[in-house]
Amino acid sequence: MRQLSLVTILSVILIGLGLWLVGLMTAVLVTVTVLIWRFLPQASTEQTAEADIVATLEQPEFSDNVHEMHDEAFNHLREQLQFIRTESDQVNQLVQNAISQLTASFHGLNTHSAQQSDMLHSLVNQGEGEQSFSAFIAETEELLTYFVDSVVATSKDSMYLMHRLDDMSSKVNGVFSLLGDVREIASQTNLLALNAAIEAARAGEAGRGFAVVADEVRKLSRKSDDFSEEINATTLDIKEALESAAAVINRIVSADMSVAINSKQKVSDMSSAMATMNSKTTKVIEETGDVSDQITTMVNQAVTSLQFEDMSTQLSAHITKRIDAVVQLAEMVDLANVARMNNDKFNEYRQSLTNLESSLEELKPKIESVEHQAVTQKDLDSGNVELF
Amino acid sequence: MAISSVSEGNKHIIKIDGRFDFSLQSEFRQAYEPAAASSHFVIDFGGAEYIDSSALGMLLLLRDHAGGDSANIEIIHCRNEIKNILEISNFQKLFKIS
Repeated sequence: MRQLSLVTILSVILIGLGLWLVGLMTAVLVTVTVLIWRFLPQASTEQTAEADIVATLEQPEFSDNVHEMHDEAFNHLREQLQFIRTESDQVNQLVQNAISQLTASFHGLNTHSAQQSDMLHSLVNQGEGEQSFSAFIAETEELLTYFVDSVVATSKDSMYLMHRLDDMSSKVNGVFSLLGDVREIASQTNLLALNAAIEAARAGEAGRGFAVVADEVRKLSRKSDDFSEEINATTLDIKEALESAAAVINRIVSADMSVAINSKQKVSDMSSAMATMNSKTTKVIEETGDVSDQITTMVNQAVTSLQFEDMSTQLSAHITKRIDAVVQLAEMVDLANVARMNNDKFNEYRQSLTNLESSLEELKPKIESVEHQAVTQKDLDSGNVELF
Repeated sequence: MAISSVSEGNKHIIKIDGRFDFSLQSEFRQAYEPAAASSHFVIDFGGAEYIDSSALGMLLLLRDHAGGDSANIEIIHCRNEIKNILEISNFQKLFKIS
């Protein structure tokens, strides 16, 4: 947009300059026409008036005066025409310089815009960061799945182990009840041995040997009782060991799965946030690319519009030609006047008139062609104009 | 009782209330072991508030008991938290979850 407004401002300035030149030209042409009309020998429609003027002109003093004024006016005319020519050339030069600078800077703008567009497009096409990030997300998800799988597998094995420990525990409980039976047997054996000892004592001398046997049986029953106590103690140790193993399994197996759920949710959120960000970035980059393309198009349009420099140069050349024509006309009018004052220069005057006539004929198509071209080139958009 | 089980023909329904964790391991085992392997097991989580990884292990052991890949086990009335845990553990491939 800024570039376009620059073009607009410059165009306005240049058109202003052109209008000023045209105005100047018109003023000069009007002045010259008035002068020519004034100094041209008047037609014989007003015979008496002419006679009066001739009479007046024939007075030497007045005649000198008129000559002086005439020369002065012509000198001014020449001088002004010269100024117009110089200034017209200057304007032309200024316009040419401005246009070439503008064109150069527009070309620069175009190049930079294309570079910018390329950079943005390469950013869209490359997308390495995006790939590595999605790879990271995928890896994290894989890791999480691995973690969950291994937790579940460990739980299953541990629970299987726990079941086996339970089985062992119930078998150990079986050992306790068996030991109770053993203790019962020992106690009854003890009682039986006691009874046997009593009966042996009653038998007197004949039972003495039996008393020894009964005593040994009592000793054995006590020993059996001691053994069952030891087995009981050992089995109790086993039971305690099983319980502490169960406690360890409890710790291993009781993982809070909500941690995994939360992690998975976070990874999933991150992934979708990343996807949203990526799509936004891609969209913005694409839009920026479009803007860049638009800038290129507009700059190209602006450069095309600058082709008017050609036309302004042509117009300027026409102005120069017109000024030359005006100078020529003025010289002729001057000559005509001088010839009218001095009859000896009449032949020269006549020759000049002939020259003037042919010059006018020569000038006519030039002027017409200038007018024609000026009309056709009013519109900047029309015609096939190649880029500079 | 945190665990109750009912048999209706071939269908064996086990209902779990409260926290389904390690403390229920023995009870849960007792609830399914008497049933035949070919039974249609239904685990009702309607009253369950929480499950941990030991519960997942127990469910997998139930699956082994019920014949592994040929097991017919349905898990019903899951609240969202429990459903999430089952899904993150890929249990939807092993059980019918609703």
